[in-house]
Amino acid sequence: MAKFILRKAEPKDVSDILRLIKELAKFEEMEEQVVLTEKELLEDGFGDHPFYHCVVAEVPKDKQSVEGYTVVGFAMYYFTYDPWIGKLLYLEDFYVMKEFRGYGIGSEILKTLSETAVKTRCSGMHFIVAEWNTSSIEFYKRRGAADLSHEEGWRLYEIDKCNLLKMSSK
Amino acid sequence: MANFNLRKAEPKDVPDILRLIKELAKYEEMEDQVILTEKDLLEDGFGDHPFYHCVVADVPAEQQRSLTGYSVIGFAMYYFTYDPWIGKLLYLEDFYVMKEYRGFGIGSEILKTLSDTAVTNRCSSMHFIVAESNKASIDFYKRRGASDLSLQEGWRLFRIDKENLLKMSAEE
Repeated sequence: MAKFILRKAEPKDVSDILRLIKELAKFEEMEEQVVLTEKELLEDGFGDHPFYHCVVAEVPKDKQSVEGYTVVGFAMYYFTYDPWIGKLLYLEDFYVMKEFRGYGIGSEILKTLSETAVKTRCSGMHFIVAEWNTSSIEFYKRRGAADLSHEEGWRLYEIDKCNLLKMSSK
Repeated sequence: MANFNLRKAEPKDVPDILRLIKELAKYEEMEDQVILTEKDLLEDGFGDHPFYHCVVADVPAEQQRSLTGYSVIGFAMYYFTYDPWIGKLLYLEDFYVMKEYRGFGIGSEILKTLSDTAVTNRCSSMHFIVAESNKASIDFYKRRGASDLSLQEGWRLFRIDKENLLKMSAEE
């Protein structure tokens, strides 16, 4: 089973993208936290101003998954900006269905994203990984990833909607 | 000295933005790491597709001469990111007010403006990173309801630099 293609996501892929987002969230035991809808994914990704980009991995119909899916992996990314060096490619979500792992799909996706980053003149690729996710950490370290939280002490913070509204209304 | 004005940055602000980026980097002892140029900032922020947005704080002419000679004395750089579970987020990338102008509520006003922007753009929250050693900033944000997701959820920030991206690109 080595046959697969990688391509830019199209509007028709939105239901598969949401399905894979939920599968990945399920793996992290967070499936109920996915409140995003197909409608939002469509508007936000395929409108005048895309807020994200997606690459999908697809297999031929005769190789479809047990449930009958042909879109078996995806990566969601967007561009961020470092005030010292400029554009960066930010890898937000990255997932290949369990039954399709071990065939190099993940590596091929990361290679494609690397090409995209270089072509769009990005200085690097950033992403976050949960500290307990040792297999992902190793996957990335094998490809030269450095842990900036470790090297530079960065911690990710959030001000949620409730607190934003509090500040807005003061 | 309570007179200041917050506004969206314009192309003419690019030299001041770069100056303030370098001042903030100097404070972090990293000034030589700023290789971005005014040309990059102009193309990337004010072209067809802006990769960042800026809010700047400026003070009236009489005040600038007496203190620093500059009228743009603070800024925040932000952009929109995307959480696959909830959608759009506002990401605060850089945030700085010149030393001589601190304590007058400019920082608070900038954060309030960004909160308005986030809510208007239907963002679910605002994200940003802070160095764990930066206690003053951490307290500033925690007073406004910020929570440490690295602590709560164990996230660590990783980077694959250009050299390694090129290596992967070239692999067969």
